[in-house]
Amino acid sequence: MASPTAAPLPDTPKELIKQGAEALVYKTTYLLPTIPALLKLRPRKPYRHPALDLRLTKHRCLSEARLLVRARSLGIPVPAVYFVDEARGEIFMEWIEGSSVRDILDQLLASEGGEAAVDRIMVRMGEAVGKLHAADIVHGDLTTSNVMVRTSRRKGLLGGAGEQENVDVGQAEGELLLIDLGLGSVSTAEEDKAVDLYVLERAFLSTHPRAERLFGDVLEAYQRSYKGSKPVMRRLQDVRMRGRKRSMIG
Amino acid sequence: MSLQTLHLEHIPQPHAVHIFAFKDVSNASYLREQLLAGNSDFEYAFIDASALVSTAHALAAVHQAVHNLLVKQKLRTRNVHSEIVFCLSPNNNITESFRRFGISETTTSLVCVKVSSRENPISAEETEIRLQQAVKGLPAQFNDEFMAQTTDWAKVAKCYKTRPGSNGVVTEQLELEVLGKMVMRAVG
Ligand SMILES: Nc1ncnc2c1ncn2[C@@H]1O[C@H](COP(=O)(O)OP(=O)(O)O)[C@@H](O)[C@H]1O
Ligand SMILES: [Mg+2]
Repeated sequence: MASPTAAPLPDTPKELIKQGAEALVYKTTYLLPTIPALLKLRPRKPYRHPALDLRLTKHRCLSEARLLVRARSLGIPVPAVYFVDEARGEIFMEWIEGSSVRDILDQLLASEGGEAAVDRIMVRMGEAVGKLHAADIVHGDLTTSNVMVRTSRRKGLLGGAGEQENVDVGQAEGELLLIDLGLGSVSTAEEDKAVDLYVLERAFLSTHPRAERLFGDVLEAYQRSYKGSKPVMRRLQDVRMRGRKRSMIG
Repeated sequence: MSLQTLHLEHIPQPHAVHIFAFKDVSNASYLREQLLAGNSDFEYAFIDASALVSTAHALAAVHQAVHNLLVKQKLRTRNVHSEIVFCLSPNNNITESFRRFGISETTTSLVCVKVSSRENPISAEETEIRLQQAVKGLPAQFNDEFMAQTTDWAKVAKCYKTRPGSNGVVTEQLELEVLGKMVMRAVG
């Protein structure tokens, strides 16, 4: 048992897994070395005025954390938030063992007979987005990279070391989670929700050209799980029209 | 030895968290009086184990409090030990958090936490000797089995307004729901 006067332990290890425009994303641990966690860090921007920078960092960090907690408390599948230090721009959250829908679709669509599995993923994706919108939460960056499928989960409680067994599930059966609410907001506007759907549709068609028909399945499940979806679907038509015009001009 | 010493992830070194659990505690009102009197020989986080669902639940509050002490360097309460009790709370009412999560006259199962820092170092051995002297009760292992045995489900449901249907067994879902409420308080 180490006494507090012994040589200091090294800092908790963290492994950089993505360097985005706004945030650094690490795989690390929380509380104990046996509890995996994801750390999303928004570093300070030296070119911004320090006071403004701090305010922006805090605001974005809190906004993402609050949306995650709110979504989860409403039963919407998102990672659980463990800990937040908004001044340091840190959010620690549940580590999801799995892959993005983007990667999984690539694999499944390339494999013989993967279509049935893809269908099931589409349905659950529609349901998850439907639930999100029914709760008046808009994702803001709804791409297939920001939806994950959990392929393995730890059994037992977080701290319960010893009984931590991983339970593997097939890619198509794993729980589906919406991640990255960094650009999300609370909104009742049909326009905002329709733009979410449009962004997802574009993401689909640009990365999975064979998946055009599949997006129809997403929308079907979306409408089933979101009672108020009719006006959003109408709005989606307008958003598509505008998008088409813009791409003709641009 | 029933006492456990932990070094929490991402908390600056040096620090140590000594944790000791007791059951069948018979001098809870005496301990509570010492706390209220501000007797520094009794500076521990004395948590009523009936309000805890798991070890991670307790550790999350310890982590938040030690983070406030060593990283934020700003406490909402008198010291890091009262801060631990406060950090269990889903709201900002400090008095209520002590009443709900701290030791009370009727407490029989107790989780005691002592934080050792550069400013206030204390060894595991010394903590154990002092706690054995102070608390009249049976030493117990601080683990999820003990936590599950001592959980008062009605109390947890009341304190955290958790969704119904989780009574009787601690599930990961319930644990994460409770942690979510604690985070919510911290992020406002
Ligand atoms: N909770 C999580 N568990 C596991 N991996 C995650 C988690 N959150 C994000 N990731 C991985 O990190 C990547 C970046 O995270 P994300 O929140 O999308 O940040 P960014 O805003 O930079 O896109 C994701 O595409 C995903 O692969
Ligand atoms: Mg992303």
